Amino acid sequence: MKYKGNSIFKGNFFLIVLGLIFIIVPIFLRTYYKSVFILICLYALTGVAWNFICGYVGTISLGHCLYMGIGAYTSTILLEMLGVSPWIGMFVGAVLATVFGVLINWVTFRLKGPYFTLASIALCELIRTFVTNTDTIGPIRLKGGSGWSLTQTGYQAGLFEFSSKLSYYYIIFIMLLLALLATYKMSKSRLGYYLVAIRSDDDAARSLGVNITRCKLIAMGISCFMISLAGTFYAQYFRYIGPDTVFSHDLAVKIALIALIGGQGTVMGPVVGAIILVPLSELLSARFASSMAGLDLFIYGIVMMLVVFFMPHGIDEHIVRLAQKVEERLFSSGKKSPASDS
Amino acid sequence: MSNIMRLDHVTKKFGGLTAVNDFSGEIETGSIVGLIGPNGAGKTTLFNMIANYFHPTSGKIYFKDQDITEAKTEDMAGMGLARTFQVTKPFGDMTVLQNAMVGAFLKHPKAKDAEEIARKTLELVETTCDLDMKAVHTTTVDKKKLEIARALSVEPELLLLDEVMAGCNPQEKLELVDACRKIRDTGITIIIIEHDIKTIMSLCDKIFILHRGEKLVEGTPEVVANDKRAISAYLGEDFVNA
Repeated sequence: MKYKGNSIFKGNFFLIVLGLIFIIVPIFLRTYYKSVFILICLYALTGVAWNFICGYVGTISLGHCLYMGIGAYTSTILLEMLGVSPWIGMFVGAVLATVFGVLINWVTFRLKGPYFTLASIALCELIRTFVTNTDTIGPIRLKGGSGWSLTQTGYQAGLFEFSSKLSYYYIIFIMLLLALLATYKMSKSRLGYYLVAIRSDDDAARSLGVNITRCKLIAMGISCFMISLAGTFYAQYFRYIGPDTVFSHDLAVKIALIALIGGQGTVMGPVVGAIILVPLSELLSARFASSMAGLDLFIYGIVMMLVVFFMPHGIDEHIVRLAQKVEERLFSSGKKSPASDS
Repeated sequence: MSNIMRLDHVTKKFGGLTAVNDFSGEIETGSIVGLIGPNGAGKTTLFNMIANYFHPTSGKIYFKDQDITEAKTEDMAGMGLARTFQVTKPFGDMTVLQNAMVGAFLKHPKAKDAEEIARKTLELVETTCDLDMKAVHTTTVDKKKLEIARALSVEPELLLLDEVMAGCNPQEKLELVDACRKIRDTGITIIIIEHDIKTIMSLCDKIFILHRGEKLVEGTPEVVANDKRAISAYLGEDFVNA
């Protein structure tokens, strides 16, 4: 038997380098660039969460910010009305978003392909419109279209408010790492195999005993949990949430694009997508905010088209291939001495 | 000998069309049973009902003395029934090994155990390709073998093979026949749909001939081969002389 073992971490070397860059570099950067790093991690996290269900199963949701918004609103309302720390509120929100996501998608998963996507857009719009026009539900204040501005607590770490950007950065970085770890574990587990099988051929998957609805709902639940944590971070970091920010269609599309451009159904894809798209959009919107608003979305569109044309499976696989080649060059020259390399 | 499966007056209608009409039959445990007939005779429809891909309009299907007529298709593998598809459906994004692992995961939740089972079944059907190759890139015969191996990985008691030999050359057919015998020798009952009469006559213990949705003849290969109705409907005069 000459079976090759699956070498899992082929791009190991570059992953470590990338990790070190993300840990060390922001310390030395100006505040503005720190905030770019924060945004990269935040959007990468939303992309990872989206990818967990949509990338692996291949059902495109364009309303995933809905669950992010539920997380953001829950933790904010708990903090502002009851004084509950967002550290606790984020998990309350996550559980709420998970339950909501599983219940709703138990219904919408019956829809296939574009119909599921349309339903996800409609659902998010529905909630956005509802929140915009609702000031209170019973004792709970939603504050309608004006949204919540979070009150200053005087930089209390226990209440998720920090004076330095670096603290925010490391929190979101660690959250991202945990999400990546969860995705990696999932991809090597039964659930991961089942999800990819469902994406390839659901009839064949079913004939092998895969309960499609259950697998999709489990993945959806985990995805909602992750993205809702990102929602709480979003609220605490920007210190303002409103229906037009957290439930906006722009945000939903952005989340999906990051994962799609980076690479659907890959562990690192959304990170790659965020590293490319977030600085691009920051740069463009900072440069052209006054003169040409919305140019960043325009550029997104062009990047998306280029990726679809030339790299339909996302940028990630090309980068991995490149990294492997470079790695071989770097390390093989030392190992084997034959005259091929100097 | 006991029967692993019993079909009791099974009928399937699609609107006004009767695809399978009043089919009854028994499948003996540990045998290889052939299902043959002209195109459109209802073979695959019968398969789909046995695998509960859809349900009969009337009649009952019993598997291990249990009524499975209305069971869900995803529960069948767990009960011990696995199938292949006429048009192979490999999970294209996955490697050959990973494809088989999807089947093995049903009874072995740990990736390591699943991989072990998958390797065993791939070896049993004598897959010759690189197991780390993406399934889409394999040859027709390897896709067919993979389809069988993947179904075997759920460790079934009854295996349904839907035209696994179609599109294979004589040498490859021999390999597949060999694989079927080996599978049967491990104690798994096989129902096979096939168009190659010679292959099926040499392989099967019992044959059903379907014609226009109805069971025409049932019996051992010798009985079937000499049946007048079978000859006129499907086998043809040449077969008797051959």
